[in-house]
Amino acid sequence: MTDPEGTVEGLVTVIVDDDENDRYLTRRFLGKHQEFGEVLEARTGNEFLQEIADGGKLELLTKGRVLVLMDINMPGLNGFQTAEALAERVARNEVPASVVVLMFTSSNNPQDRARAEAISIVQGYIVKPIGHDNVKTLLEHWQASQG
Amino acid sequence: MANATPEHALVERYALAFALSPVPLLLVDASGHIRLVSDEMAALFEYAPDALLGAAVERLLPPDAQAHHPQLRQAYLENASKRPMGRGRELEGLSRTNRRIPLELGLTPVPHEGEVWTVVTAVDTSERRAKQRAIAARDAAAAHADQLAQLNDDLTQFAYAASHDLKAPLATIHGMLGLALEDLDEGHLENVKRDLAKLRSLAEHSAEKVEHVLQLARVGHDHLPRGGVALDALAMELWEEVTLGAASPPRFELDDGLPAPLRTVPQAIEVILRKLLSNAARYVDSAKGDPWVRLRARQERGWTVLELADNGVGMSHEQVKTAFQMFGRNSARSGHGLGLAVARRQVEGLGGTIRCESREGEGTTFEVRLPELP
Repeated sequence: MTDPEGTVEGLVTVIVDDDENDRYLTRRFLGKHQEFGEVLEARTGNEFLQEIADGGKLELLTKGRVLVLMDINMPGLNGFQTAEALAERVARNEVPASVVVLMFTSSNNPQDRARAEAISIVQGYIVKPIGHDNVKTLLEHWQASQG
Repeated sequence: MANATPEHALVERYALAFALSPVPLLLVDASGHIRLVSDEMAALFEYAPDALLGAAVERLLPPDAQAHHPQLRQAYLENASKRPMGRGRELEGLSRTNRRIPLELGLTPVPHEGEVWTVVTAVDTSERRAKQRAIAARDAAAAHADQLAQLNDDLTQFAYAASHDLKAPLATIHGMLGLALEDLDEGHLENVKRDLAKLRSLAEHSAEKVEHVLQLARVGHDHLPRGGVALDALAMELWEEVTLGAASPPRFELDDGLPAPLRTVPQAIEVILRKLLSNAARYVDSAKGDPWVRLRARQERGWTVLELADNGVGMSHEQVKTAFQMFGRNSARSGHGLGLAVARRQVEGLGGTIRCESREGEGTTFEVRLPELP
């Protein structure tokens, strides 16, 4: 799974979050863990779908190793709606089926957790704030999703 | 057995029918005297079977209805037909023990030798009315319960939205502090400075947000003084305030016809206008050559109607639906997502209404209707 340098080969992480501070934080913490390679950012669900999913970046950049960290509460499409739209694109073979979505949110609401579980491509639910523990949890979820 | 004054052909003809009828019946002659009473009728009014014979029919009416009754009776006789009495009104009879009896009465004219006698049927409606009252009370209780459930939903919604939106920046602050400590340990002072600057603005932003939530909660609880407000001067002042520092604010058009001082709660109207104007300034469509915001007003049957229109980015149908919800941020440009929620509560606190029409890419119009306050 990991190459000799410890980086997961070709892993691209996409942070989908409307909060600039949260994107900065997540990027900085991921940067402290060698497993993570390239990190992309989208400021809204709409931007993620248009520029990254439909824009072909997922396919071109990764040959299918994509981890999406999805915030829930965003203007426009929320994280669930975005994940559902992404799942539809996977079903239509427009996006690699290996894409893994983890909800990454400050909400610990059981309803939100239940809704996340109902979306096929969502493989985990992690509650902010980010820290080293949570980065490890992110990796575990991702590895578990890879079988 | 029916009870009758003897020796009248009509009385004899009806006696058997009265004796057999399960409905309380009276036969009243042309002069308004009771000539035949069924047992049911006597029992209903608590009289002995023959005690009413020969009495004026007014004896069975409550005092407040007695005086006018002969006139009403006369009018009926002049235009007699079979019909219910007192349609749409609650009629009452008075029993021997002065108990008021709610009644539904039916009148049937009986012509006899050039005179018109009347057969009166009476139905005691106390039970039915008691049932209706019980149903009405039950409906009122159900409506009250619905209202409480709605309030409870609102409260849950509020608690959820507020706690989520207030927790999110705390989680960020938590994460940012962890990062700052690490940066400090590693001696990356430039990073520490950046982290702290972000923390400070985050804390400031969060404090503002809490202030907005408080504003929302306070609406209707402050007993603010009323007074006259010059809308044009206020709008101009607020527009300058909300566009302060904006690189290219939209052109602001103020209608000449704004009403002479509007009597209202000045502090409330200021909050409403500030939120709406700041919204209009925020959602300017810079792709348009001539972005504008226009405030108009008109008087309509005691109401002042303010119309704030813009040719900004506009909202989709879906966005309009949630525009007034708490923390309902529609785009990356949105602020705390509380401005319109506060504006709406203030408008409603003044007894007014607010609505919004918008088309994506074309612009938005808010209409505020305010009553003149005493």
